[in-house]
Amino acid sequence: MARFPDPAAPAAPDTAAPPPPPAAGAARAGSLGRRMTVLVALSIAVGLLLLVIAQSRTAYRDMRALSEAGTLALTERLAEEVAPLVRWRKVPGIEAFLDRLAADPQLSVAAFAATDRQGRPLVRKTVPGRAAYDLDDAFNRAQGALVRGETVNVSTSRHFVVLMPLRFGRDQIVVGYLGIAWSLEAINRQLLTGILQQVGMSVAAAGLALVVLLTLLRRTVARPVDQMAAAMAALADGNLDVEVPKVGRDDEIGRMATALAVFKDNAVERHALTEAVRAQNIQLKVEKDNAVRLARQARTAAEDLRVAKERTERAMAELKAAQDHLVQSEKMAALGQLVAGIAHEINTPLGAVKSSIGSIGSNLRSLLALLPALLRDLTPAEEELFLALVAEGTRTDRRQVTAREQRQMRKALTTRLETAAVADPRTVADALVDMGLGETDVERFLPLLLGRNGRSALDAALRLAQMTQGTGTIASAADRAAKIVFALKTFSRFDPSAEMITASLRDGLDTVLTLYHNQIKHGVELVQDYQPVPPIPCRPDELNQVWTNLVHNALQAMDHKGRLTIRLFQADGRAVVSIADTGCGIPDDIRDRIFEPFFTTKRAGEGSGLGLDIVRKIVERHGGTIEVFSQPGHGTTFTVRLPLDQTSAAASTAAPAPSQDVPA
Amino acid sequence: MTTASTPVSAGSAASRLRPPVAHPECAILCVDDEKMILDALKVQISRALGDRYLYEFAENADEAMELIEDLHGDGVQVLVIVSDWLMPGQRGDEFLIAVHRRFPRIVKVLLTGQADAAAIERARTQGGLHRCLHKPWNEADLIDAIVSGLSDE
Repeated sequence: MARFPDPAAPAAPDTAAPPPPPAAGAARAGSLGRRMTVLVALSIAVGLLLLVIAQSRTAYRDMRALSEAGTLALTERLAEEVAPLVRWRKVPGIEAFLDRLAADPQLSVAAFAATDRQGRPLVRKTVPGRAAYDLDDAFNRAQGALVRGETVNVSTSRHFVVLMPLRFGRDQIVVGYLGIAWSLEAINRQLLTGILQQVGMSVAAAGLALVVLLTLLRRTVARPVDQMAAAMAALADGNLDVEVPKVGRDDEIGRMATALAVFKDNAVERHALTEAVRAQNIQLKVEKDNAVRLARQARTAAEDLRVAKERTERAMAELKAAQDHLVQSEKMAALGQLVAGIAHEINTPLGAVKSSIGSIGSNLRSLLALLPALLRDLTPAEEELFLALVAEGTRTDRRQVTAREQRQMRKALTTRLETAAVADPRTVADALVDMGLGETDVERFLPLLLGRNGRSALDAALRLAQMTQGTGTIASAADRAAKIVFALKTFSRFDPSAEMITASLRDGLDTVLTLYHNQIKHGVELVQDYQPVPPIPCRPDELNQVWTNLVHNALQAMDHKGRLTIRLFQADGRAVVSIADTGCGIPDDIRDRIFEPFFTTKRAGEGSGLGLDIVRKIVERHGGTIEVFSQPGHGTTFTVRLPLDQTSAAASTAAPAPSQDVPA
Repeated sequence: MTTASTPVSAGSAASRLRPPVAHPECAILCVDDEKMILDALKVQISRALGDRYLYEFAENADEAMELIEDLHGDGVQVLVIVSDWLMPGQRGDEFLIAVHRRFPRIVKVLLTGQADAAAIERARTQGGLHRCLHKPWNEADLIDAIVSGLSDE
């Protein structure tokens, strides 16, 4: 079970394993002390005990030996004293002697017996109050030795028995035997006292030694060990703030303390490292997750890319088809802008036709009524003048006269007629001017005018003139309308796969100018400089789109005021059309961009920005080039060059590349 | 027999040679940049209204304004103006509004091939427009517009 936090695992709160209560440490140290105490006490006790036992045994043996030796010696002296008594069989003397012996408190005789030489007891006595001993039995057993003249001593736990032959005389002849059973009670008692004293002293000494030893142990070993144990336990639990006990000694405990300090530092360092590693691991894990996610995203993106590539290829094909539709839409859009002007253009001739028809009808009716009578009334001379007047008035070759010029002519004629005394000169002058006559023409008709039928003749001639004018008006109006309709039809035709046909560029330019006539005439000076150019192979509808766009842009740039110059000529084996305006020009910074699709400087809704892009594409499809030259503030010129024949430009008429940049 | 003749020059100089007349002259002015239209208008209006009025014609607004001033200077009162709308220079509605400021009594008729509703509305509110006719016009409508305008006077 790892006590230190596992770096691989997220840090869990320290409540996972509840720390042991701090008292246990002390208790353990305490139990160590106690254990030590117990052990030491036990050891000392056991040692003491053994010592005491050994000492006691030794002491006992020594004392016993000593006492036996003494007793033996004593017994020998007593034997010497008793020997004569026994020789002469002085029994009472022996008894008294032995009694004296028994009564001596210092000597503890348990029993004595004196026998003769044959072993027949002379005196036998057991001292009361002392442990009994059966001397007879002892004599019997020791008989052999005694006979031999040996002294026999028998040691038992309570008695020391001496059996000795009594020797008398110079010859030391055995006269009898003496047996004394000395009681060991006293000795034993002394011994015991001695032992107890020794034990007591030993215990005291031991106790002292124990206390001293234990105190020493506690101070030098148990306490530092206890502290270190507590510190180590705390460290083990992850509490790195513990204070390592300072043990200044150089011995094992000191080294342990030093080592513990090192351990603690290591632990702190390791903890810090562990934390850092854990943090790094977390970060790495996050980064790994990120990487995995990114890899997944990259895979998805790669897949999307592949799908997108397929879609793009499909879209390219659709785009080509859309391009063609776009050209048509542009045309329609441009057309829409023209419609208002075109409506006016058509309504104008229609209005003229209507009024002309009305006046023709009414004049016809009037003439049918007037003419017969008039012709009847006119004199031949008047009739001649009348017919001449009619001829003059119905001429179809007169140039168009402006209202201002008519006014001036009217004034001059009025004056002339007044001078000639023609009645109602202003009305007459008005009529004559309407018939196209001027001051110089009127002279020859004065006679008719001054005549009696003058007014009615004039009236009839005027009506005829008006009818003629009317038919002329109708004819030219019809022409005008037809031109416009034709231009519209031409413009709106859509045929993307049209073959090239040989067509006149001039016709195309005229068609377009017709459509824009209404816008051009209002304040725009139109200059047409057409050199002879042979018809070229082209798609006229598409080229009309080009001219329309360029003319439209030119008019807009000039705000419908200025000069529009259209040139058509040949140069370097190519047909060249240039459309120039005196408008605001194109700034340098956008000049390179004007052919870009969707590039427009107009507000949203006013222009799609596709016009010039389509123009360029159409020109390129014809194998031609388009250039722009512009001076801001002065004007712009677009120049389109087209090949005169397609053999030299065969390659360019194939399907157009999606984007080809034309040098602007 | 005649008044003294002095060299004829354009515009107002020559008009001073006109003989004095007994009654004030009235004129109807038509303005259109298409000569074709002016001719047609002249035929129709002069046919309908006859010799009572002078018929004057101008091909743009500037010319018309100049003409009105000339006539006014000559004692000729312009009673009616029939004007096109789409003309070079000043458009018809602006022209009529300018005329109205100067000569509010003149009957103004707009004759237009294009219907610019905003312009027509402006001419009505600011220019006292009497009527607006569309090309191609109906002769009866045209004459009616002029006559009704004259009788409102």
